[in-house]
Amino acid sequence: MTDGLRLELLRKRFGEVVALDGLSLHVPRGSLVGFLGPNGAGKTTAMRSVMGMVRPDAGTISWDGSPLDDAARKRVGYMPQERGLYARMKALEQIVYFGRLAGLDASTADQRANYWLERLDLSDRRDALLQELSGGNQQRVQLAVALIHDPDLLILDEPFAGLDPVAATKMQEIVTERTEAGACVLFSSHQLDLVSTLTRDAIVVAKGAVVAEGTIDELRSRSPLRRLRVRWSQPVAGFTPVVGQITESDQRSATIELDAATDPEPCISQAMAAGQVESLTMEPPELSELFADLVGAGTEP
Amino acid sequence: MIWTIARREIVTRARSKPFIVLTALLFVGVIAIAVLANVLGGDDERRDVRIGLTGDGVESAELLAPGSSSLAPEIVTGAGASTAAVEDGAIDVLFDGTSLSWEGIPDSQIDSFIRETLTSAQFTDRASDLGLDQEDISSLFSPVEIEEVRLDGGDDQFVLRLIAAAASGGATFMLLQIWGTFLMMGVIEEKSSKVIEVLLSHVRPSTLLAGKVLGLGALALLQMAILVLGLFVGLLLASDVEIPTGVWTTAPLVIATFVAGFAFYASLYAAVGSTVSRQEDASSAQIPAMLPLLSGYMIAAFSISNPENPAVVIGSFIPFTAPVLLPFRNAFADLPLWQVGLSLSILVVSSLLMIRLAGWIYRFALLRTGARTTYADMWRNRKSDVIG
Repeated sequence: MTDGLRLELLRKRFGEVVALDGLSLHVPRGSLVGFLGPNGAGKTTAMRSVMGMVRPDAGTISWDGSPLDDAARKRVGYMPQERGLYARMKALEQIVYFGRLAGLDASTADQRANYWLERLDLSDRRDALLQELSGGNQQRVQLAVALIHDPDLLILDEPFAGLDPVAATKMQEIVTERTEAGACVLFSSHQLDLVSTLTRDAIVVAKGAVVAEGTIDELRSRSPLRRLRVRWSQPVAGFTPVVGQITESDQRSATIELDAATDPEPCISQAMAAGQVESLTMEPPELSELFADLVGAGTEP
Repeated sequence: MIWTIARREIVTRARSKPFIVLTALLFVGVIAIAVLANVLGGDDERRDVRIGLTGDGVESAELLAPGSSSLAPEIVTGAGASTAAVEDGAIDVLFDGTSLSWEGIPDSQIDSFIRETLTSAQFTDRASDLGLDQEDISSLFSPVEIEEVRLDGGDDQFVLRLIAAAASGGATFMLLQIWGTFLMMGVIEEKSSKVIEVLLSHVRPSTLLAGKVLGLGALALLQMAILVLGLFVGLLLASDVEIPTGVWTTAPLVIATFVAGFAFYASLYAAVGSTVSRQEDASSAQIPAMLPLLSGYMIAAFSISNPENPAVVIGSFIPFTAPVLLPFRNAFADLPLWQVGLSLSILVVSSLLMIRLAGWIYRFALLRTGARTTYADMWRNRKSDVIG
């Protein structure tokens, strides 16, 4: 696969506020990358820079090895965080209109718009004005608008916000399909657990720069902590581990937090001695639990 | 791309109620002006009326039959001259020598025609009874001859010029204001609905702005053309009216000024619209565009009795007021070509500059949401925050 999207050392300052502070990232062709970070970390500014709506003070943005220009942007689909379409325009007309703006001819735009309406279960609402549609259906139209021109690069800012579960599943399916076809997708989210179900690759930003990058498993394993979860078939009273600390417990289970470097064996033996063990797992913390550590203290995911 | 955007503007706007109502009103206005021109233009068609004579009234038949400059009476005598005929409308009035019978309110024109005709006949009769011959009577009636001389050498088509000035200057003002506001509301709608970000993912701000101005401009020009053409057809239909040459040269001038004025004001309205993101802030945001446009109109309104005063003359060369004052002034004064040319040139050049400035403001403010974008803020961040 070819190079895909590359952002190198992007800097952007709005007055006193530093929005991007040397941000670099790479989304290879055929990959689906979650772009994570707290509010104000620079996700939207980075995405708007890709779309040409923010002019970075420094840094380069390239697509398949050459600078991302207007011609290349014709192949990009964008779903902004602040959703918006024309309230008094019919669903089909609206999708066709954006298809035309993306450079499709009238008949192709019409054909694709109908395809997406069908795919998103909106065929019977094609002549409804946008303002007559439910919030969830408006989101589907918004997605169709982003997909109408079969983009090679999808920039989705908080794509799951406001989606009902059915639409969210559909969205996952479509996004995966696009990456399998060789497109690349960069989507931002602060719903971290949702990200873990959708993709293996994540980029974490804070204060305008990337603080961690890799597969979600890698990010998790970098944590200095491990969680040992024990479940007994009978109630066990007063289990106190020899190493680590209990973070959660009830009569039949306990979660013990251990340092990753610590040998868990004494604790496991102790648990097995305490009663008949039904299950026993040891894992790094979930991404959402790691988030605060990754982006620095004092920031909310 | 520009055409795709322009077409959406045209289709959306042409379907909207305000547009349909406005266009219908323009048609009505044009017809009203044409009718007014006909009436004021001194149509010499005489009105057909029917006067029934009965009793002693029959003796007046010969006196009344020739009618007057405005009335062409048909004299009805015999069975047709009855109160019943008045009641069913077969005749307008019945005269029996001493009284006039009407159905409803007396027609003042017929009434005074009959009274004046009979009074002057009686006057002549009594004068001849007193021994005056026909010549004496004529000299008795001859008025003092006073000639009207206009020192400005102007023609006497003031009313027509006034109509042309009001229609061209007034319509330019009205349509620029209405369409400027439409454009501004469209810009604000795109910002407030957040659709702007999706739009900008496909097109440059300047392309978007150009498409909007061209689309709405086409509709505005259509309305202006209806108005101007309708007006001149109306004037042409007014018989016996000699149309002053100034009125004729006004037609192409009005259209040319309107096109340049539209480019100027539409981009200004779009720019001020882009500084706010809520419809509620529209009225305060539009002041920088509305005030200069309105001042041109006010100068015109206060200068009707003296259309060549310095305010109008100077204003017709200033791009903010020229769109209204140039056609206004020209309708009155048959301006020399160099003045029209100079004024139009200034307006066209200013329009090009305004398009650039407005495009810049638009690009700056388009993605700024929340509080109103101030002009000071624009100046501070002029280097960094312009998109596209």
